[in-house]
Amino acid sequence: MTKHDNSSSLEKKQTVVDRRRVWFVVPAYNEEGRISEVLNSILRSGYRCLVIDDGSDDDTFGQANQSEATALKHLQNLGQGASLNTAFNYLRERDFDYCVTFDADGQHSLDEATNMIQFAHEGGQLVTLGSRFIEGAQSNPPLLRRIVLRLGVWFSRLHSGLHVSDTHNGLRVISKEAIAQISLSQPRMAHASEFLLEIQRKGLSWREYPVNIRYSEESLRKGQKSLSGASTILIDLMLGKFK
Amino acid sequence: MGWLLAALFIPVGFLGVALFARGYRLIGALHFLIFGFASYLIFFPELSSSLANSIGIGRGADLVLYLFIPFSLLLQLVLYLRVLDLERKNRDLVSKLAIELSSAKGQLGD
Repeated sequence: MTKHDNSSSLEKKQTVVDRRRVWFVVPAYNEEGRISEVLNSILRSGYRCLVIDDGSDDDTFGQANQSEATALKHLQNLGQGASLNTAFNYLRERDFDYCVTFDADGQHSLDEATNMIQFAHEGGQLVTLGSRFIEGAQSNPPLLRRIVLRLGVWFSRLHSGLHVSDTHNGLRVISKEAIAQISLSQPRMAHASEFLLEIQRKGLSWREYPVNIRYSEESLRKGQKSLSGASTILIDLMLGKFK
Repeated sequence: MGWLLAALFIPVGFLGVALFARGYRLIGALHFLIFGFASYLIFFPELSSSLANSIGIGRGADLVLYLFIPFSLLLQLVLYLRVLDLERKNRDLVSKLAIELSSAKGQLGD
């Protein structure tokens, strides 16, 4: 089921996860058309849900507030990394078992996230990373994105020292212990590379789990522009070294 | 003519002093250094020519141009890092405010 397992000595658990102790973190920016459906499906499954509205111009925050989710609002748009950092700061003050980072645009599957949580719980690793490129995954990204992602994987391995098979995959299951240690300073998309670096720096145990991403026309249009996005990430990471 | 040219650089010198006094030590010092060097070359142009010749550049004016490029790039980098630092502080504020507003709302029972 998985590759790149560095957690052979981890304690194996067989119990069922208490869903009320799992927070789904959903960073959202101008997602009024889809956010209600995504939040309701998470909440109906019995999980807790934290939405970070990253300075949306539309009614994303209003719709999130109408649901049972906890909604925080950035007064200005900062980027997905900043949204996750706000969410982690919020969660550090709370009692929970796992945090799941989940996209607001419907690209991620709730069933897969549920399986990932159980996998993390049984395996005992502190971080579980979704991967589109290991056995069991059937994602089929567009060609240009696939090429950029492959280059990104190569770069991430060099940059973080982790032998990951995918990079910039937003679906992750993170334990409370890992949340307490991970600190993200990259506000935009470079946070995903920084996240891997943090795992390596803090010596956190990790595994990958196969996931499928649903690419819609809208999510591709709204998501990272493959080449320009990759260039921006590289520049952000380089300048981040000066801070 | 020399005084007129030097006068063009006086605002740069003032800016350097003002920046230094307000705590922007590196940028202020760089501005002041540029002001001092430029003024010196205006009044003693033969120095730039002899300096240029000693490192294999034909004219003093070319040396000044070549020096200007890395200096201005360095200034850009310093200013950009300053912007990044301000962005980080702004991010921390926005993030804390989001959490505080949520807590306040919870206390009001909304």
